[in-house]
Amino acid sequence: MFFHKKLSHTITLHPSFLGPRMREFVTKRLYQDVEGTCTGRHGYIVAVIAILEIEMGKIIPGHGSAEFEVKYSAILFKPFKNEVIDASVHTVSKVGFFASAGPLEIFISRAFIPAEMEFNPNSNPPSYQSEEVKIEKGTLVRVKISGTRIDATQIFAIGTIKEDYLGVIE
Amino acid sequence: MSNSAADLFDDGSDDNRYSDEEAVQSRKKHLSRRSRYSDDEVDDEGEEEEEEGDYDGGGGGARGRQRDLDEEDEEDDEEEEYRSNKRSAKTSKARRKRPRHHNFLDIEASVDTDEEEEDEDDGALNDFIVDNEAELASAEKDALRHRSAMRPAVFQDDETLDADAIEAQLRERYSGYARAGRGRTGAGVAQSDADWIPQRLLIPGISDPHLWMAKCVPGKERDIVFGAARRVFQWTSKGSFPGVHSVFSRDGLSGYIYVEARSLADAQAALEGIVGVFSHNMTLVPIDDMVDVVRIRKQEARLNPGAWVRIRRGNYAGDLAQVVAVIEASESVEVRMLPRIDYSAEGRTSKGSRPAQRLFNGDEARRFDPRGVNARNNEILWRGDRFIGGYLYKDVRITSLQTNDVSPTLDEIARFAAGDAGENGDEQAAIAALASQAAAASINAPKTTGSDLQPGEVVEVIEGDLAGVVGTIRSIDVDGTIRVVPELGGLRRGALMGFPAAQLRKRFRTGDHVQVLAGRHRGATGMVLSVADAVVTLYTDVAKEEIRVLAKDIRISSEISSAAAEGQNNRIGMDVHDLVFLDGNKTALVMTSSRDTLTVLDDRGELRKLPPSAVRPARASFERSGVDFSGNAIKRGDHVREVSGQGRSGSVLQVTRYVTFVMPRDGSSDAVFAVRTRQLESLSAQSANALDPYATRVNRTAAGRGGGARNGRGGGASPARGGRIGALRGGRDPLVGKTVAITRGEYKGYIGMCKDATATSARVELHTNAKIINIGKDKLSVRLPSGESVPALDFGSAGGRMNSAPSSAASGWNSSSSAPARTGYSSGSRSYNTPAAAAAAASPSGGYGGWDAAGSGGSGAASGGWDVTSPAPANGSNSYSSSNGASSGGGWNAGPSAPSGGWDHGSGATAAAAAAATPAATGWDMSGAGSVTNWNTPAPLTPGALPQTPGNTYGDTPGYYGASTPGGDRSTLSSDDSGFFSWAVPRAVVVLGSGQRGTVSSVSHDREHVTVALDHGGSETIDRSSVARLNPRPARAEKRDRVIVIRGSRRGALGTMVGRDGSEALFQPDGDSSWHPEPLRNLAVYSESRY
Repeated sequence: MFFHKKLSHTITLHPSFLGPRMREFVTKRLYQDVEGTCTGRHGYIVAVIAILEIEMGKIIPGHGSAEFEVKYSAILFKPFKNEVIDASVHTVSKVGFFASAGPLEIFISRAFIPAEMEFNPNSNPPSYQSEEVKIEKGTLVRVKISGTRIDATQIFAIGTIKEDYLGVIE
Repeated sequence: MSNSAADLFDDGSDDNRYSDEEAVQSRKKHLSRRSRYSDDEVDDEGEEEEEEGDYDGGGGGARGRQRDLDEEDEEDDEEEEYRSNKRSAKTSKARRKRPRHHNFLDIEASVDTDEEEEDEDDGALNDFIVDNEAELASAEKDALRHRSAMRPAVFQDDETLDADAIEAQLRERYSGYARAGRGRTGAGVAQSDADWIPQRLLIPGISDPHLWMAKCVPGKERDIVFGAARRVFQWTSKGSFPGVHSVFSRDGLSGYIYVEARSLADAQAALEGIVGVFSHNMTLVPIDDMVDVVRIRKQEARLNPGAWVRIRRGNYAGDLAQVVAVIEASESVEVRMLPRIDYSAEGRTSKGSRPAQRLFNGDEARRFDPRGVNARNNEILWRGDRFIGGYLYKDVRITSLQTNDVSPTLDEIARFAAGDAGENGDEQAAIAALASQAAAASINAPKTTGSDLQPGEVVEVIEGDLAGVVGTIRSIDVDGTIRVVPELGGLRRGALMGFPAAQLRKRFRTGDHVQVLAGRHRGATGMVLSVADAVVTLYTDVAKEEIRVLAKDIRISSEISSAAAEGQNNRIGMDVHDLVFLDGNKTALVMTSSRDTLTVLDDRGELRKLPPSAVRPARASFERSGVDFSGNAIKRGDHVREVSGQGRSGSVLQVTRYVTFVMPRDGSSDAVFAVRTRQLESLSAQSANALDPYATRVNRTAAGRGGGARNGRGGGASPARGGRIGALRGGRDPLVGKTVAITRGEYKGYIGMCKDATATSARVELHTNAKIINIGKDKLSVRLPSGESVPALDFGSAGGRMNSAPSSAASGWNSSSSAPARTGYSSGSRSYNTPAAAAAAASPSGGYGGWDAAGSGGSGAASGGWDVTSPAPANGSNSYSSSNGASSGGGWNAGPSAPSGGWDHGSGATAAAAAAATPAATGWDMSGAGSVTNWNTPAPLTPGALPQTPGNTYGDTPGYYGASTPGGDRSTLSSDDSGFFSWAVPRAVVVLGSGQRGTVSSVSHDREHVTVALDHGGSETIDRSSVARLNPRPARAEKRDRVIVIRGSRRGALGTMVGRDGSEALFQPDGDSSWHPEPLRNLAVYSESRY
């Protein structure tokens, strides 16, 4: 699910940047630091929408670098259990297939693929096939997330397409 | 109870006596505390004992003792028996109508008509009250048996008594037996009462009967005991006391009979003539050993039906078997297992090879041995073995079974379950059933590893009335009852319910992240894909494969690890994607890591399976790097692209000089490939982070050095150690990159990685929340890989960084100096790590010059010029070098290139300039606290105002001339300070160069002569000619000293020093409530006393 949320981040600037273009540096640094990162609490920070406030910098005693607390708003992406999400298949193997929804990788185990879809290792690329549909690399699928594991730097999910209205999107 | 009471009323509502009895019963009810069922059990056992061997002795003695110890309980027993008797008695109403008198015989006859012995025993009962020790036991035993008959009489007698009176009566009646019982029996009692009486009171003594041991025919023990019992009973019935207290055998010890008797003759008499026992040759069991004879060894694990065991020996050694039944009173159990049969073999199978485990196949058996097969119902007998449903059923002694640590794997269970699953093949269900059965059995068994269940876990009730209820475990009682807070259903919230562990199963749901606790996959973590009763399918985090485990073996966990990681902490660096060395220093990347095999990707891109012992983990303590196609450095995590070939790209997992292991961005773990480092092109290098301070620093340093040493460490390893100061400044703080623990303050106990450091503070990225904090170095300690901790301030002082010191000290310091050398500069000093501002001046004589390596000899020159890259006044160094005759080098280094020390050089340079301008020869070390720096100046060469004294250690007073306001102080010093005479004021305390302390007593008007009254008596008059020799300087003020300001804007002000902040003193002028910061050097101690 996507969220729009206000967050804050502390940026440390080396003294050599403490000059006329300081704000620009801070802004640039913020984009660099936070966009694309992932925290367990908020999920992925997809994009910074706006910088709301750059607080007055504080020089770190004995160091010379300055710390700026930056408040910004960003679009977050955090997957939840039972969420239905569209993803694109990127790896197919006999144990199941992987699909990615943006930065999120979802594993769909063979147990969660409808029984009528069979793994066909001989097709190129390897695929799951039933009479009507075929799942191979690049196929778009609608997946229901059945569990997430949140690491420090990424979120991993397992999902299922073994339910109504799930599976290949035409 | 209430049922029976109701029955009574129904049956005899016309009879008042019934209600009377009910009244008595209800009156007595409060005495009853034990459940009827347990009491009945106890009594049944007792009766059984009596029936087996109806002789006076152990059993009765035991009872007596028990009664003595717990009379109340005993009374409850009686009460219960009374009641149960009533139940049985309701069928014979005639009895109820009997007149009330003590006619034991009549009662007996009417109640227990089927027991013949009872009549005989009534003889003993007649003198029931006789207080004869010898006969009490027998009487008491009989009393036990006939209590039921007797009690109604008691109550008939005592209808008018209340419960208390009855209790008192009973107490009195039975206390005598208890006393009689004690002392008469020993070991026998210990056995039954061990739970009740302190053990030491039960140890038999010499006054107790002895225990004799007789050999017998093995297997006949029980028969012999029964025979002896009959004989003793016979004697008793004739009225003669046999002198034998007990006869018993032990199940575990075949071929021996024990007789407890007063004398050998008695014991022999009890066994004489009984077939199968050798009574003529009996051995006395030593008193000390008597207890051991009857001690029941606690079985380590009681086996329950359903439990898993393994066969220890024989053809089935190691095979999994399941307990079918426990055969009571023997040390065997019936187990079932998958047979290993060679149908074609005649008789026993040969030893060498054993057939595979397979369900018994009747057809095949018939084919080879058509007459050998005996089938009845579903049971097949074949060659002496019993097969049911294809399994081999066998009675096995427990000693030949492995009962602990069986830990069957799921494969084994699945194989085992094949038979149960049968044709319709619901294997999953069969496995689940087996697994839960086994789990229940093992949990029930006392003293197993305890239950797998832990408080907080979610469980589901799988049996009983509440099957299906889900709850959370709140606590586990000592007896194994598990208290569960139910979560579902109409059950009251917050109610605690107790379940035996056998009825519970851990509950998991798809998506749970779990860790495997036991079995082959122990330690692995993964996400639950599906749950089928007791079997859970996981998708593992590290190996990325599906595994099936039993629900009891997993636990919710947020950790991530592979099965290999568990228990292999000694094998550091063998985790997935670690770099390892193979034979011949070939490198490889660990792809999967399991308990006994590693799959590695070698440098040619081939996958190899190896035992862990065949590889050597690469040191992970430093960051490897390689050089790519275009000469840029490649680090781990960089994005790279193959220059030639397929042009694959990805991120670097591991890099060495020759080979790089790359993980394609969109690929899974098995898409990792190995490629020559030179064949890669770093994509990261092009977009190098312009905001990275280190990057910019390197650039700047490189430029400033004119392409000199790249590594930013001054002269590097050049023998001409021009880099002495450079090394001091330019290098990274050794703390950077180290794991540090915070030892004090708000973050105490946290562990983190040092990202950057200055002299006194460090920026530490905490492991817990990836937060970077600034923290004083004094609050840090460094965690070494060895596990030791070293205070951060000491860290690096002993390290290799110091290697430049000795040579520079030798060549730098001493060579150029004709004056007494400044030896004693501790080369191990921390000053290397600190932005110490070393300032120096040469005396006009030149003899004192060149203390700095840079200024001495050719070293400075050889270093290729010490560029002053800092904003420090360049003329400082110039003036310094020019004043230093010995120096042939171009300038000295004022410039630490490290921005972290951006300020320190200034002080050095300015001070140098200042010092050079004045004829003061001095040097100071401004290293931080704890410095061991210690240099000995030979003598004060000039009448400088600087507090310099031979042997004075400035290391102790860090920050006295603090570094925080460098330059400024020094310049003030040089301009403002025309020496002692400028500041000397009366009553200021001074310290002379000789170490003597004194107080200025007077200052001449022209400020040319100062008189100092010395503390030790006498006085010195200081003038221009003697000032250099005496070298007076203001006594250093301490907190709470009275001080006078001797320099600066407040000069002359009197006040108190209330505190200190680095080099600043907090000065509170008299009559002022506030305080002001004042440089410490502006203050002198003010003496109140007159002299």
